[in-house]
Amino acid sequence: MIKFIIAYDDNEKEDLSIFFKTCAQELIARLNLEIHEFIEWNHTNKYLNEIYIDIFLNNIPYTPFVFLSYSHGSEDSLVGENLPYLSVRSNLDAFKNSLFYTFSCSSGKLLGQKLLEKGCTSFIGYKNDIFFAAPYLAEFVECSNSGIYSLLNGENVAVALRIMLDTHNKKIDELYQDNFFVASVIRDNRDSLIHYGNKDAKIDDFAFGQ
Amino acid sequence: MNKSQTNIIVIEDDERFRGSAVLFLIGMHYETVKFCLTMAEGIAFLTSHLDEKNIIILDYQLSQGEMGNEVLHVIRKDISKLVPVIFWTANTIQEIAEIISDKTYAVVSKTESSETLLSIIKQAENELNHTIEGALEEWLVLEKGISVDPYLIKVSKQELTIKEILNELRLQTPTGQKFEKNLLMLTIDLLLRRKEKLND
Repeated sequence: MIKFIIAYDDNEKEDLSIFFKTCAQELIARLNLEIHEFIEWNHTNKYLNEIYIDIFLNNIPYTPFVFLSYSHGSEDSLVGENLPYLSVRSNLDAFKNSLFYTFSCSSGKLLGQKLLEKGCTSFIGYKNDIFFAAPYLAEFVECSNSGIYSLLNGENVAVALRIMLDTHNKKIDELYQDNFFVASVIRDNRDSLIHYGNKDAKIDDFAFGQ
Repeated sequence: MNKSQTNIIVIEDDERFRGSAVLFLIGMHYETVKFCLTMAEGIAFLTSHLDEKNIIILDYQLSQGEMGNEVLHVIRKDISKLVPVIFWTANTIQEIAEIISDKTYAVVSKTESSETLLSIIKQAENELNHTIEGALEEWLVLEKGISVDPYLIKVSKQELTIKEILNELRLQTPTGQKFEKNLLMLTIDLLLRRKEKLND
């Protein structure tokens, strides 16, 4: 059994929440819920805030898990409703031996490095500002989730990263003749991808309770 | 001869130039030559025609104490850094060049021939048609009819409609410059991955 924590900003006041929510819900639909355990942190269930997450992280048993987030971000934090919900100041010890993927701006710069220092096995994120083009929801969701899907299919992190790059390239090639502007944004997102940690890790490495 | 659709906006306080030989010559090559006596009139015309290509011919000393470099400053600060502005002046070029601080395409003396001014206008138009920012601006203007909803959203929260993307580009903000750089990087990427090749 693998525990997945999926954090996403579904604040409906923002257009971007449609993207975050679609990424998270497509992923949840792909998880075999009979085999895996998953927890959602979002705006609707009011868990996407620093107080709740601090309590959670201070009480979670130190077993591996997979953490996935789709939200705003900054160099040192993940942000929901204008406030960080997870940052370099959080109890990142809880992420020891875990896998961390985030679609958020710039958090690859400091937060990712700090997670590695705290023993996170593998971090995949973005080092710069990233963009989403509203008329191309399906394309951006596919780029964002392709790496996680390949991990779920049993590939290791190195292959998942390769598949993420290939998916971005495929979307660039499909789009650039009709919409070179959006293709150029996808290329920029692609080159902002960053990884720290173990590239040989596979999803089964994060199982617990077997 | 097919006339160019680029608008030539002449901001000049001397009414006599309206029927001058130089404007007649320019009018033979350009469909729209808009003669504006004041800064306000010129800026209003530019603002209402931003979705078209424009080149500004700007007198340095306007009436009522208005100076050409003030007009240029307003254009560069609030409207666009992409529109070529050509100073057309009775002052010496050295005098003008020392005063203007915002980007100017050229400074042309009123003692120069009409053909010289026309040649510089055509050069500016050619460059306007062949820059990354010009191409991006033209494409975005075409896209603008599609939607007024947020089109591009930075995941750190900034939402941009097509119109706002155009403003970022025209005012050459860091975001606007990033979009230009993205296009260059896309071009390089497509060449390196052999999706496109350079024409001989």
